[in-house]
Amino acid sequence: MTVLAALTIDDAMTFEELFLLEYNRVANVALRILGDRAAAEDVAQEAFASFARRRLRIGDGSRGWLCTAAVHGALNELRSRRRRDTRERTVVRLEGRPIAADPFDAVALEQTREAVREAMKRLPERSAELLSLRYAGLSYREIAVALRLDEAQIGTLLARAQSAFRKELDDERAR
Amino acid sequence: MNEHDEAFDARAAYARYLATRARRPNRAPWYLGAGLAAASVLAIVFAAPIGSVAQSFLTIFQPKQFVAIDVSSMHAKNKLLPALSDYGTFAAVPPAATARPASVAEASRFAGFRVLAPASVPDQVGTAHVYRATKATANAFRFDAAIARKSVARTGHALPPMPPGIDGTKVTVAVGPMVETIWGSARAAFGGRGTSDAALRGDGLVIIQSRAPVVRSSGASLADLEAYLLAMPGISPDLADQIRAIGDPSSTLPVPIVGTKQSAHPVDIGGAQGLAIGDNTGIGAGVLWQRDGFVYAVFGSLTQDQVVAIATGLR
Repeated sequence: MTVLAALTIDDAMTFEELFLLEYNRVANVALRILGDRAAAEDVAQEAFASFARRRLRIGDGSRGWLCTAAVHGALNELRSRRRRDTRERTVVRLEGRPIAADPFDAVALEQTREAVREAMKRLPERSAELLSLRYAGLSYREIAVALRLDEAQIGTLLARAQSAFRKELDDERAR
Repeated sequence: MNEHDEAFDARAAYARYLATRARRPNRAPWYLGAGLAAASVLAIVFAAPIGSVAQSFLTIFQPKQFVAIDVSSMHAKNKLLPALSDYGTFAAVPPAATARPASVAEASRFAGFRVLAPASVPDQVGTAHVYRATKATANAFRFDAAIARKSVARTGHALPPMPPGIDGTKVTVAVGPMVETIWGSARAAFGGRGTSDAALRGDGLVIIQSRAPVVRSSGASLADLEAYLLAMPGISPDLADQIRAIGDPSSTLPVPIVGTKQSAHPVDIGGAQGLAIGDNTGIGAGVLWQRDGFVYAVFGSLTQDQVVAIATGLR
C-alpha cells in the first residue's frame, strides 16, 4: 500500500495501471461518505467507468478527477438513499469486521462514523468535496486542479469547510 | 493515503470492471492515442458510410491519405454532435490489452510488427522515452431506429428520421495493434483534456505506429447512411460540403482541425503524402501519414520542421 501510494501517475501509464494504483484511494473516498463497502466499490467502479467513457488522458490530474467523481457519486448515492434504521445498519455492518476488541467500542466507533456521514450529507457540496479530497490524501495542488480552484485559496477554504463540518458534527451528536 | 483507510482488492475490482464493461454497451471503446481516437471516431461518423451499396460485410474504408476538414463552424457555436449512443448501440468489447514494453524489441513482439524508431530527436526532448502498446481491437456499432426515437423523446433534440435501410446496419472499426513511443510529457504533445497550461510547456514527443484501421459494414444503403449522418444536428452545411467534396472517401480519412487555431497542409514523408498540422498557438505540431498498411503519427511540442524531420527519419 505504501509503495503504491508513493507512485506517481505518469502519462505512459495504462488504464489498467491507473486503476490498480488508484482504486483503493477512490474506493476509500466513497467509503468515508457511504460507510458501506459494497456501495463504495460500486461508486469507485462508476468513477473509473466515467473516466474511461470521457476518454480522459491519464496524467497527474487523474487522481483528483477520480476522487472528485467518487465524492459526487457517493454524495448522490447518500442523498438518494432512504434513511434506514441506524441501529440495524450498525449491526449488519459490524458482522465479519472485527474492528474493535470490545463490542461497545465497536458500536461507539460506528455511531461516530454514522454521525460523520450525516454531517457530511448536510455540508455544502463544495465543503464536502474539499474535505473528502483532503482526507483522501490529495495535496493542495491536486485539490486545486480537481476542483478548478486557486491553489492559494485551498488552505482558507479547507479551514472553513472543517469548521462547518465540526458544527454539523456537534449538531448531529446533540440529536 | 490515510491510516484509517480500508484495503480493497484492486485486482478483483479490475476484473469486475472488465466483466461489467464487457456486458454493457460501451459508449467509448476507443482507448487510443488522441490523434487516432479522433480519427477513428471521424471514420465511423463520417467516412464509414460513404461508398456503394453493399450486401455483406465489406471493407468500406481504409485510410491511405488524410485530409484536413475545418470544424471551426461547429467549434464557434459550441455545437455538439449527437453521441453515437443516441442512435445505436456498441457491441460489448472489452478494452484492448495494453502493455508498457521496456524496449523497442519488446514493443515489436507485443504488437507483432517491427516498431520504427527515429534516427534522432531534438535535444530539448531528451533521450528518455517509454513505450505503450495496445493490442488490436474491433469495435462494432449497430444503428437502431428504436434507440434514435427514444433519444429524441428523451433529449428533445431532433434527429433526422432513420431510413429503414440503415436500421440494423452494423459497422465495425478494426484498429491496432498500436505502439506509442513517448518522450517527455505525452500531455504536452497531445494537449488533451484535463491538462494544465504548465503541463503544455514541457517538451513532449509522441510517435504512434498502428496498423491502419479498417471499417466494414454489414450492408444497407451506404449512400443513405452518409446522407443520414450528414443531416445530423450539429453538422454545419459548410462541414457537410467539405466531407462531400472528399475525392476518394473510401480511403481518405478526414482529420478535424479548428481553422482559426490550427493550420494543415500536405507534406511529403519519404514519398508518402502526409498531412502536417501546425498549431498557431505555439503548443506544437504534428504529422500523419500512411505507408504499407500502417498509419503513423508524430506529435510534439516542437516546430513543424522538427516534427517532419523526425517522421522522415523513422527507420
